Amino acid sequence: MKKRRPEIVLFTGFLGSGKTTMLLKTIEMLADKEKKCAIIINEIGDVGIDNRQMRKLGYDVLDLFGGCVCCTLKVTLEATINHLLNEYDNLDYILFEPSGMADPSALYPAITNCGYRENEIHNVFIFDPLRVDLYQVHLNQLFRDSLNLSKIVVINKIDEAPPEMVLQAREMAENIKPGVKCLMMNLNEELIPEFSRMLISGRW
Amino acid sequence: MYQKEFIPVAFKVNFKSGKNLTVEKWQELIGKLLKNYAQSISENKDCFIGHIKALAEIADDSFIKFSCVNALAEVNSEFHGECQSVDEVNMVINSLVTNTDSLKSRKLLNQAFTLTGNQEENVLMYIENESSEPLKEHHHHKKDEPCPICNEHHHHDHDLH
Repeated sequence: MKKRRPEIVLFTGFLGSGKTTMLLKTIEMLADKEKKCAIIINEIGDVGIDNRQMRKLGYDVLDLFGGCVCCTLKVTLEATINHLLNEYDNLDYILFEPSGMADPSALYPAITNCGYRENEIHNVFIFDPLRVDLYQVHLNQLFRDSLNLSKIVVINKIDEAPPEMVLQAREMAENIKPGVKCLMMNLNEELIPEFSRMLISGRW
Repeated sequence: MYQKEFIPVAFKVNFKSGKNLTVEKWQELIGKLLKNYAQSISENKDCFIGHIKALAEIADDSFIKFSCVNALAEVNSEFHGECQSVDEVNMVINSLVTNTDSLKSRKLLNQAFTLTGNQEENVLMYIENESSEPLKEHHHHKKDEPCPICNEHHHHDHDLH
């Protein structure tokens, strides 16, 4: 019988948007439901913080280390995913957090080369409403590309950002991708049940 | 391109105090240091903070994670593990800031430390040379086995753990 491929979930978003926090909450939620996950992290810089944090919390992490995955580590990403697919029979999910500077569109070929279709990549775009100005001016192209690839948008930090900024963030997302599902979250608290349901059911 | 504008800088930092300090006190002190550091960076209009992250090790399985994306906002921090008092903390700082290289970051971090005002706790900070000690990274294979991920395309100049 052909093996069932694990679901692949990307946590994308600019630096400091809350990707690692969301990844951790997702791992906890999936672990509670006895799902088996592989975690891939790519950090820029000589020293990783997120991978150390994950290991101290008891998780085993595959690092894509030493550069940004969209620029220099595409081949390693593909090899890493193939390694997971070949060596681990019972994986339910591959959870991947690219660097906050990665262009998500550059990651897709490495994933599709592993046999996934584009529409099977669950790309969760995490949006920090406190940085709407940055997205509008300096990161506009990245924002558009990220949104167009995303399955859902998580607007984080709703506890910190003024309501008008949260609303502006939502409008920006909906203007670029009409009909996109926007989930409002404070990732320092729990994941909202709607996200957990989508992830578990596979109905995005 | 924005990827090239943000300069990654990482430091290993050692803090020593003349007495044991609680986790809360370390959290407060380091939080203040990172806030001052972020503010010093932001004084230069050409410097924009992408993300400043730090992991302070209280013990093998206890740590405080710090995160800062804006000099005006509070530094977020979260403690995991068992509360205890220690007189020494090792920390890794990883920052991505525009127009701020390693040398400048080090200077700003030292300046920021002098502003923390920790006379009572008598804490000393030492920034280790970035390249003085190879950092341990994690691989999923033994030293004498080929790497299943990259087929030996990475360097083995540091130990496995």
